[in-house]
Amino acid sequence: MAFVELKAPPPPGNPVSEAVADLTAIAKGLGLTLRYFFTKPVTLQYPEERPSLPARHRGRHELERHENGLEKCVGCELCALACPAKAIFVQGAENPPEAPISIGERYAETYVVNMIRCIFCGFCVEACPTEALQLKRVFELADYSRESMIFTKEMLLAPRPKREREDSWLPG
Amino acid sequence: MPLSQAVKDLVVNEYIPRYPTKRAALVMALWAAQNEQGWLSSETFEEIGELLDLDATDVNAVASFYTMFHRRPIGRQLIEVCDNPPCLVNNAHETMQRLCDRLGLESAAGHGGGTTADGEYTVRFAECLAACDMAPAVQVNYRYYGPVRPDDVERFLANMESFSIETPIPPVPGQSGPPAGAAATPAGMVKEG
Amino acid sequence: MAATAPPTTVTLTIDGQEVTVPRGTLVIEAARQIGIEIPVFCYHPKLSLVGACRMCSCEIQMPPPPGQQPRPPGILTACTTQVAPGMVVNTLGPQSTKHREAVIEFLLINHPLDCPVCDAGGECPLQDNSHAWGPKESRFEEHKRLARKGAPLSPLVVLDQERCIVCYRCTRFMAEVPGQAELDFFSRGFSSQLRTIDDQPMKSHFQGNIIDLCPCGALTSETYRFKARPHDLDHADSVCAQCPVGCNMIIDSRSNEVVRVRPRQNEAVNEIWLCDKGRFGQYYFSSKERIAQPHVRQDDQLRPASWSEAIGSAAVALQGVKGRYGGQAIGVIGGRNLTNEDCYALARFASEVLETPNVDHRTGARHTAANPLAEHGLDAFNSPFVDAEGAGAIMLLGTDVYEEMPVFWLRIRKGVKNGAKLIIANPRATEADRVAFHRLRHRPGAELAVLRGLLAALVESPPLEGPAAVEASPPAALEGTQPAQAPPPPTRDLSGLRDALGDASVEGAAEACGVTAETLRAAAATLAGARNPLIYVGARLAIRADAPGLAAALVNLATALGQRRAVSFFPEGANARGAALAGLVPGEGGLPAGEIIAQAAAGKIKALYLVGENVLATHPDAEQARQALANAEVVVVHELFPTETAALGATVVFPATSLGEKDGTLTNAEGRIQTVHYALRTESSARPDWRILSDLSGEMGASLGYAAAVEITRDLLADVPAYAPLADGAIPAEGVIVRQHGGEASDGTGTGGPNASWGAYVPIPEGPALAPPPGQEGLTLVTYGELLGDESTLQDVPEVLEMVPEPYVEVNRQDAARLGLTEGRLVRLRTARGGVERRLRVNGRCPVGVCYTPDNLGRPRVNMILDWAQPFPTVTLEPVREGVAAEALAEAGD
Repeated sequence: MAFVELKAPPPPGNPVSEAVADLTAIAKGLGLTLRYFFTKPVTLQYPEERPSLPARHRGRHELERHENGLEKCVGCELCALACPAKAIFVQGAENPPEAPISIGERYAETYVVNMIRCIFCGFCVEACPTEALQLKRVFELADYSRESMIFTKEMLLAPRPKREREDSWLPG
Repeated sequence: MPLSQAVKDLVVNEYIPRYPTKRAALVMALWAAQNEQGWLSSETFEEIGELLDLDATDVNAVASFYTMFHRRPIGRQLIEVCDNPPCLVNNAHETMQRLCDRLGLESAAGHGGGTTADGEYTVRFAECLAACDMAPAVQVNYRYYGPVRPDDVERFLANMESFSIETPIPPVPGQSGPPAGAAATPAGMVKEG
Repeated sequence: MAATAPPTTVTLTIDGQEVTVPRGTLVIEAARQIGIEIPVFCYHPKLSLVGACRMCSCEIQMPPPPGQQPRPPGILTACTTQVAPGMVVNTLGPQSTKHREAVIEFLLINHPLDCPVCDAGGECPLQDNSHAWGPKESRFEEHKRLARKGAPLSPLVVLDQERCIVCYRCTRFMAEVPGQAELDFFSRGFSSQLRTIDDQPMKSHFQGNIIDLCPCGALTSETYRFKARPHDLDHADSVCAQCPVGCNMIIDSRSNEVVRVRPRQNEAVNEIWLCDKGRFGQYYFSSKERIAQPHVRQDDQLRPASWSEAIGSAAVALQGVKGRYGGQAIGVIGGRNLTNEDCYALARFASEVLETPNVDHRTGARHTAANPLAEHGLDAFNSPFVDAEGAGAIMLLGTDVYEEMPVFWLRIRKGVKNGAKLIIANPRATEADRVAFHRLRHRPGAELAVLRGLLAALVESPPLEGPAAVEASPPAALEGTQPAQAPPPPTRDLSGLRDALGDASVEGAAEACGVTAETLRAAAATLAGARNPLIYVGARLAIRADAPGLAAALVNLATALGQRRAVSFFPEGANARGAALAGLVPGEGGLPAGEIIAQAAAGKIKALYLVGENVLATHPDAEQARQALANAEVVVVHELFPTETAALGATVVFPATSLGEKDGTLTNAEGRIQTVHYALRTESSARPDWRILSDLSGEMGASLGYAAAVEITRDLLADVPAYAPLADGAIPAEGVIVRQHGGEASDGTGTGGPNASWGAYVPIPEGPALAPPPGQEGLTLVTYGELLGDESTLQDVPEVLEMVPEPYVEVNRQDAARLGLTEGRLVRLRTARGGVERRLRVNGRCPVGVCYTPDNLGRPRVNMILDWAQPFPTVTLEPVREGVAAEALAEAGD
């Protein structure tokens, strides 16, 4: 039993009406081409042209800072726990009181995201209790080696704010 | 300074036999020790612990429960100003402030006072002294005085005895009931409120 | 007839299910029995009841009295309410859930909710119960209380007062279980604070347990602080090898590194406790100091070598000695800290490959009998640990059990709480003395005289016949007989003992040992009047020269008390029992370990094979050990760390794997064989001892042929008679007690058996005089091991090292005053051999004329100045001049 029913070939008919039908089809097809010729193109001349991303685009991770330059991340590892791809590794450590790194007693000594494993689901962002982790709109993550896809804390941290608040108690 | 043998004997011979367990005599023992030494040192806790078969930490913890046990030396005159509502509305905080100013202490609301450098006075707040009729009430070495209004502080320090509320209030002539001061309830309350 | 006894069980209804439990059971336990878990914070089955947290409140309704209306249910705490007949408990009633919601809301008012930062996050009862029972939101809008955060209670335990919910678990533990109430809540109400007196750091050996007990993250571990989350960890069930108790533990590791150790429940061994060395002293598994590869000596220098080269060179060297001088010229020492598998492989290696009888695991031992009680038909340790709970009297002879086997001390303490009278015979006061009933402060080395005195006192007033003479009368009264007419039970016939004792009298013994005759008589009477007396003897006495005499006296004492299995010797070393069972004891004509070193020093033993035994630090005569290493032609060493023995004398050093990296079994003091599972991969080239031995034996042409530890376990269980009952099956998780002598491997009640000389008293051989005669100049030195000694296993963790006391010497106040020395002075402890520097502690622990120093602390060790022939030397103390730091140290001294 065939799954697809083949149409029987049309019986030989009037050659004139056949020619008319053929020409009509060509005209229809060219008409479509013509119509798209005048519509706006969907492709971008990347990299010269840049796409405008939706507001909730989930790209590369970034570890945020407070206004005074301290890291928001306290090394709680909830992102690593939430991650379905096991792409995140966090190692906490005690925050040195004389030169604090985060605002809590604890900070992330090591923070690593394996971008090959990451599926950009955003669960880590959802889990973060301090809103330290954001998926930014950076999407150009291709590279030539696997090692370079391991993003360390230095790569993920947001830059220090240009102007730290006056009352900042952080040295430097 | 170790405890005297008299206090130890008192604890062992008087207090311990009174109770079913040795630990029950703890507060009495602490009181006896403080009466002798003026305050309770860690050494005293050790000694009392030995008398009562308790750990010094346990003794210390019990002592810390009661504000009337002192963990550091106090002045010869312990002045306590009541800061519960009736005294509060009668300006007890201001009384405390003036007392501290007068004695050169830094006062802070909620925990007034401190001890003067010469060790003569310790000033602090106390919970209700049950002397609301004489608000703001003050107790000095557990003896009641009052009312010590802010303006009276100078006079109070100069002559405490004139403020003693243990002085019997003379009865109203020709009337046998309660003394006039105690009887003036409704009007007094309205006036004061 | 007596009135009918009340029924011993009670039937009640919990959440609609009927349950019958023994009278006196708590509602919470009854619920647990039918699988209903009531949430708690303060309740803990191992601690007393306080009812502080109110979390377990349930609706409890009592049946109405006959003819009355039922009353509405009340809200009662299930943890402090005992069951009653007809009681109806509703754990999920609307009132009780509302109550719990309120409790949680109140608890969270001041709790900082810093769970992302808190170490307890993820394994926190407060977190779990808040999710399960708490309100969705708090109505509290004011500021939370501020208090101490990250405040150290000791170098090991950190307190966060803000998180504390004042459940009193920690203070109850400290006061009740080890009996060291170092912690308490100071001040009251809202400002209650957990503190120690004067904020002194805690000193107990059991403080780590309060971290486990804390239900809210207020107490956390300094060494685990912020290292990991519970879900990161790999777990391995293991057994602690730091002392012979053999506590069950779980090793938690992350990225192949130990991050923490937790106790594993085994009611027969450690219940749920661990000592601090067990908990904080396992980080050495992943130590950076470990030897990473084999070393071979070349031109008097150890240089790294490959395994094949090292094994080849060891094989050649050992073959050479064996060929030239015979197997007799090789001595093998080691095994007391190894697994049974390593021990068995070593025993086979010694007998089959090296063909030497000179094998021993007991460093410093002077006689061949590994178990001094063996000739009397008894095992070295004759009662299971749990027996201490039900003893009527417990005698500790020559041991500081708090330092030697700390978790077993908790068991003894439990016995004391249950009514056991503790008799302590020790030259100096120990932690255990605080709860002692009799303290026999005898002269150093006079243990035998103490025992003679006790025996003579028993002969004077013999105990009553029958094991339960003490409890004989009450049942008779119940049956209706007249108690007044019941004849007193006959006293035990001790004429045999009188003959065995010869002319010993209580007074004579009292003079010899320095304990008064009255004390000896009182102690003997306590022992005689006690149901189920137990006598525990320190490990050091088992290897001393007078051990046979002590053993005979102890057996006589136990026989006179009517309980031969009363006597137990503590083993020296975590797996010393296992090593003895595996055959690491002198063979036919073989030498004990002490003699092996002595003979090596004398040049008669030509090769030493040392497995995990740093003889320079552990042999009681360091000078002799040094000579032995210098004179031996070949010294092969298996070690974890670059020890002085390896550095000074080893021809070949093999890096061995630690306990955390191998599978195997351990046998603890009571003879319980337990399984160890590996927790970590070995990252260096180190190999398990058994594998090194197997490889080396192959190279020497008589391969042991082992490729896996389980093969050795199988052989061991089949080969050693004591393990025979296990030969066919696996070892259960809680372990099995095996007995070498006296029959059945069982619940441990195996007694002397019919072959033992029951009832017969043995003559007591006279030992050598160990202590210098009294009245001499100077002080008599006593040495013992301390728990936190042997720092090599602690060296990687600075927090634990802070707990290790500075090497010290302890003298009596009177002696210190006489010598003009004060607390905290640095002094030189001097014998004819030389001197070692120690910090002076002045207190009342040592009697006048005696000083004490731990022998496993400090470099050089005190064995540097000791002479093997004189275990209790006379020493002098002289002050050492030092810089300005002296006063600061004096403050930190005690």
